[in-house]
Amino acid sequence: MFRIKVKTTNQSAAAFIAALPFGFRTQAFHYSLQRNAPPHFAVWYLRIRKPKLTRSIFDGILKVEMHLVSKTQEDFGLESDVIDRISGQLLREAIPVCYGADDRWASHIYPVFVTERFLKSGFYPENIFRSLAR
Amino acid sequence: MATETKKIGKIAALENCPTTITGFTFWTGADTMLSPFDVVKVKHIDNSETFGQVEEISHITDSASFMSAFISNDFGDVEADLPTERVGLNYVKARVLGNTKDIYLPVHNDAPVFLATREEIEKALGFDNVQNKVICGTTRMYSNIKGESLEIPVPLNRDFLIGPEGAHLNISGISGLAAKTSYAMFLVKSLTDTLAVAKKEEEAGTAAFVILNVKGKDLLAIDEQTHDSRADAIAKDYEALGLSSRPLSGVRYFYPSGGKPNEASTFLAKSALDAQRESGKAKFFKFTSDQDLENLDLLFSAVDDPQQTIASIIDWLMIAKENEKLPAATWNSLMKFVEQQADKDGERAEKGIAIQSWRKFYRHLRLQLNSSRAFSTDINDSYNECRLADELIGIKPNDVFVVDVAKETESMQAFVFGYVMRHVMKLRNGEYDESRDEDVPKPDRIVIVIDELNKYSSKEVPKDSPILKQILDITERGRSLGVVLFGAEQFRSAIHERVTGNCATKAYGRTNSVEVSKRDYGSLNSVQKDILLRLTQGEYIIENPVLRAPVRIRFPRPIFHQYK
Repeated sequence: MFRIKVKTTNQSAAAFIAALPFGFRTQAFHYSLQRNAPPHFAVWYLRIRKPKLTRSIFDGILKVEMHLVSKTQEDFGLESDVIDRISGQLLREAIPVCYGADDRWASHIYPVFVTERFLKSGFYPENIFRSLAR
Repeated sequence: MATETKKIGKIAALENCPTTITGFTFWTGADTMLSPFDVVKVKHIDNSETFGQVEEISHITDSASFMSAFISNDFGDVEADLPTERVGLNYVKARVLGNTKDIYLPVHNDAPVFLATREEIEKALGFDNVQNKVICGTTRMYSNIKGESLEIPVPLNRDFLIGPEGAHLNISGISGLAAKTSYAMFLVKSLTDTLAVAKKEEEAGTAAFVILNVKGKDLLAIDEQTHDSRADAIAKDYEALGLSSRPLSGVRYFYPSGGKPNEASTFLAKSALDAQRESGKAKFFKFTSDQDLENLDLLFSAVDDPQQTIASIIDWLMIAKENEKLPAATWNSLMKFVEQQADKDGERAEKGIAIQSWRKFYRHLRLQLNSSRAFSTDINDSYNECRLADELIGIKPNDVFVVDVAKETESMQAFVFGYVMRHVMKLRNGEYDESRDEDVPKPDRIVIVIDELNKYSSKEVPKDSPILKQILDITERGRSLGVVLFGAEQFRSAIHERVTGNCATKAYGRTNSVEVSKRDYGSLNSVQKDILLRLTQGEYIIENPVLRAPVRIRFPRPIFHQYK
């Protein structure tokens, strides 16, 4: 796992993420909705596909958000080793893909796709809502 | 009360793949190892159950395209290790065999699908209602599902195998792998055993068998116990089917005379032949000109005769014989007479028959008569010599005649086969009733077993071939007369349609892809055709009017000795 430090130059975040090489991640940000109040999250970006094999430079970038639940995590953030381990696992999950079934395939890992599909199979079908709207 | 068995899936009735009166599709686990021909059970309305026979099994995943599959392997990395298994399932297309309450409605979506019990499978395939059972092999169900495998004997109704309801058997398959002769002999064994048992209980009728040995020494020891090292296991296989573990009894062997006393034209070793002769089982047959001249036409069965000139000559000779104008005391004198007709240079020998025709006839006659020592003048009982027709006329119930023609030329083999058919038909037609011993009962059915049927009734055989006519006569009229043909050939598609079409029972053995593409295999679906290319030795797909669907069967190894 490779890490890239966020530069403190004027480079935009989008340009920075776009430049992320395959297999690299950004540093993680400690983020909370309200200052120093739960819920706390660790957030980072990870490129799981080679840019030349995707349609757009942002395809293949995962945004990872992790809910920090322990007091230590809330106070000091997530350890880099944990972030690396999670990122490594996500890189492994880059295959198989839902190519052809979902346009987001490059940034969509398969277990999430299957989970989504399972949940959606319990929804009312679209045509019912369409008929209700008439 | 229905029996609960292992639940293996549910019916999927889709917009583009609905369930119908004749079929349904169900999903099942990717690891549920069903096989084509397995029977499954589906819960249906009114507390009934519908049975289906597995046809096609497909495996799908949620991979939308080949491209998706390629990308999923890290853009074509054959060593890619996928951490998450794709969602996948098997869906199985099944053909409806029946419903326990004769409900014809298609099965419903999400109806549970189960494996079936032995009794349910027997009922679904129609085994339970088979009368006058004769076992034609065993079928395996769920052979790849651990703990569920079943081996079920497959019964046929013998009234549909050897008449009177239906008759004739056609066995097809490539040489060696299909074991056609062995299967024909297994059925003969099964018939003789069941008739022997049935005789004690009911009016089962009687049967006799005439088997032509056309290859090597295959069938020249069918009354000897097998010498196979697996003999005990083979015997158990027969016993498991309710058959005796003994070889056929009442067998008599007929060999073409070799010209000298106690000599035969056969591949059988002299010691074995002498042993059979000494035990009274073997005889040497001859054809005499004074008694067998009327069968002369059979010698010309393979000769193309579009102008009917050969037929005219034979007809002329028959009339001459009737009028006692034919010097045919011996085959040589007949040949000499024909030679004289052919030698009348420049003039017509007999009205309406050209010299060229006599010459053609002479050439063929000389060739045929010189090809076998069985064409003779004298029959000497003390040397165990006989006239084959006399033996056939005297055939009794339970007799098994083996007529060995393996060492004879093809035309001589055809002659003997035609000769056997002709006399058996005449016997059943009652033509020999006066000459038969009244105390000796006549078998109700006579089964003729012949391999290499393609030699005699292929589509290329001349239409006016007397042997083809004889075969057609048997297959079209033999059922009611009690004459049954068990024929085998490599390629069913080569056989005359009127022969195969009249066979009530069809046994399809291992064959090749060109053959299964022919129209003759139209009754089998694409999976069954594909299975025909993969059948192992001793396996067949059987079709018979009493079976609700084609059944894949296997049969045990021969219980009789086969010379190597």
